[in-house]
Amino acid sequence: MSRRAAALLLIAMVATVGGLMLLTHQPRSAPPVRRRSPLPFLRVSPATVGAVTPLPGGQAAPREAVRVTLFFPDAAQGKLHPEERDIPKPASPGAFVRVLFGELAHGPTRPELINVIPPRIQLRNGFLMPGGLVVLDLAVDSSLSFGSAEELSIVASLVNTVLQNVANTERVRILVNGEPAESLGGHLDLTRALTFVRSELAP
Amino acid sequence: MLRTKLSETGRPPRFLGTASARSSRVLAAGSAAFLVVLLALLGSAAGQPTATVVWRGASHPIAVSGGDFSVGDAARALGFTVSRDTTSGVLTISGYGHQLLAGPGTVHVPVDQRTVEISRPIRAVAGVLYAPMDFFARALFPLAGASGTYDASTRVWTVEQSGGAPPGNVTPGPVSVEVAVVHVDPTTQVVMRESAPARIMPRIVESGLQIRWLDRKITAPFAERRYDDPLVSAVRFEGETATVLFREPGLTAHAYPLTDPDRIVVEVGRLVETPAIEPAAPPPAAVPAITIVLDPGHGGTETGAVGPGGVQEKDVTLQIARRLAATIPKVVSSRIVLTRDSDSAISLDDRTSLANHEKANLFLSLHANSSRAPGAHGSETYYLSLESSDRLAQEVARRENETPLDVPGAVPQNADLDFILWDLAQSAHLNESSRLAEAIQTQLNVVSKTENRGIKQAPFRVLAGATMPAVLVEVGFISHPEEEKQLRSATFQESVANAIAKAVGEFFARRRTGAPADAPTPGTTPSPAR
Repeated sequence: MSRRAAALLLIAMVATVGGLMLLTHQPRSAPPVRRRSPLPFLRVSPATVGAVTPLPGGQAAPREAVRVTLFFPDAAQGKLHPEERDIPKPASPGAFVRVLFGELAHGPTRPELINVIPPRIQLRNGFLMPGGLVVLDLAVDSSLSFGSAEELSIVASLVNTVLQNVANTERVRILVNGEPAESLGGHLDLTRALTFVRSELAP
Repeated sequence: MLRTKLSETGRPPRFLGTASARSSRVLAAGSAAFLVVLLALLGSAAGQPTATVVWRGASHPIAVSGGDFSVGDAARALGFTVSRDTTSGVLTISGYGHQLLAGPGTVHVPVDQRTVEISRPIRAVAGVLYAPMDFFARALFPLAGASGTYDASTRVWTVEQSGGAPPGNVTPGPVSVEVAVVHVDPTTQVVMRESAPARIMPRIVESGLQIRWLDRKITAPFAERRYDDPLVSAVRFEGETATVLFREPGLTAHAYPLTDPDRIVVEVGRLVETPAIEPAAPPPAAVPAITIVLDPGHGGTETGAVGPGGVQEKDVTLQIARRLAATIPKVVSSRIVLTRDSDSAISLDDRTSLANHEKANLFLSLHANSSRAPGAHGSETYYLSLESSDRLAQEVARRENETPLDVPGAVPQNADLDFILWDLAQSAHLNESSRLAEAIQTQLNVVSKTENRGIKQAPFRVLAGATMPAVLVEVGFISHPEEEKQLRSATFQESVANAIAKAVGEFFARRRTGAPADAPTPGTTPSPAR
């Protein structure tokens, strides 16, 4: 084989390898342009003890955690009670709202409290808007039906949990299936943003 | 030629031989490295094992991870549009007139206005969402009017239009039918809920009313079921025909289809003899000065809460509203208007609009409660709360209610407020609404002997726009088995209607006398002077 042929073959190989590398390259997301330092979004304090997730074999994952307060109704009258738990520190406000919803949907640990979010209500998305407004976009199964007490529990639990934990938030606006809605189940006014619902808290 | 040329340079021929050998070694090593890199890259390109979706004759590779399949790949293979929210990782899948949301950890998949439960959560692996097989079979493929089968040996999903025919030419399956019988004096409604729309032919027969499905097979819920109803003795299914059997001769019925949900409503009633024409029209009755709007909660597709025994809030509220409409005029000379007098869906704002349009003096919204708390029971009466609304609403409410408007000669201090936004309309009547709520709750406690959960405030939409005293009465918990039984009983409904009517009478009696807000209720211990 001539030198020229060998050189051409090597060039072809390099080109092929380069092309394949280019095709299989996973583009790293570019670091966000920071025009200003982001506002802190954690209203909660870092967890003290037991903040790490134990692994099999006695090791512990060194993950930073925060202590959050969730609100669940009691089994007797349906009034809301706070329950604290430690969760891994979320990376962003949106992720924090999603994690809080997930923890509420997962249910309480105290036996006297009951689950508040029906499985057929999901969080489509959560946004933090200027002026302390949180927008929760819920996916709600059209076949769900509520009485006013249950509807109040669901909404108050969501609103209070978000406002209690996410810093710089004052009001929560709830959308249903991506759109503004009169109500979740025919009672509570969802056309306006809601503030912390004290009337549903247990005395 | 080369050899000759090189020879002509004077270089030894062995040099040529050495160069050729090096070139070959380099080439061999390069080729080996190339093959290794190529294989690695090909492996990397595959990333995970792949499967194939065959749809409309074309094959589409989809990534596989841990036995789950890439949601995005499969959706794109079927022609859906897929967009990804970068912060949440949620995929929005749109197409064929549907929308599906898939997110990490999702078990109940939002599909249009419902959710579909899948066997295990959707997983995110390196930013790609993977879902178990039933996600595709139950949630994704049906949106394209298709069904799929997976061959594990060949790793191929074969997706076909449901029934093997293109959309619009699908052989319809049987329609499943569910039956509910509700008596609301003086008629009985038999509602046959269908899983899909179908053409019917109703006709009166000797024993009752017969409905025949014309273009669909049906799956009957039972062969025959008897009912303890004053007008309907039983419903019987035979083939594609259902017969609503009358309890006695002299009854009549008519049937009509409704949609959303698809259902057939059979209304059974007594034949009414046409009254003879009066020789002269009676003198017009005096129009009562008071108008009261009764609002039976929910209706139509919005069932409201449903009890463990299947009792629906919308039916209970309508029955109580009808009883109340007959009772109140006996206590207070009044004109009664119902926001609905049938099983129909009305928006919350339309209910309030009707009350405003009728220039009503009172607005009573009737509901039955439900809670996930098994111990919750009893009645409660709400009036509007602005606690959770914005500051403007609270400020307007405070100013509006500083002076009791029903005291003769009282002038509202904020008369300069030219208009009040819809959402704030009720804020001018909070004092009176609370007084009405107190009267109703007291009477419910005395007359119907329900557990008293007291007067409460909440930001209920149906109360917000009412330009008159307005309350929402939760007469009992339909989620509580004992109270559900009570709520469906005529006796309990009648006692609730009597209680509310008596409270309304008291409310207007106080208004006429201009009694102060904390005036003692007749028959109760007076409150200490404030």
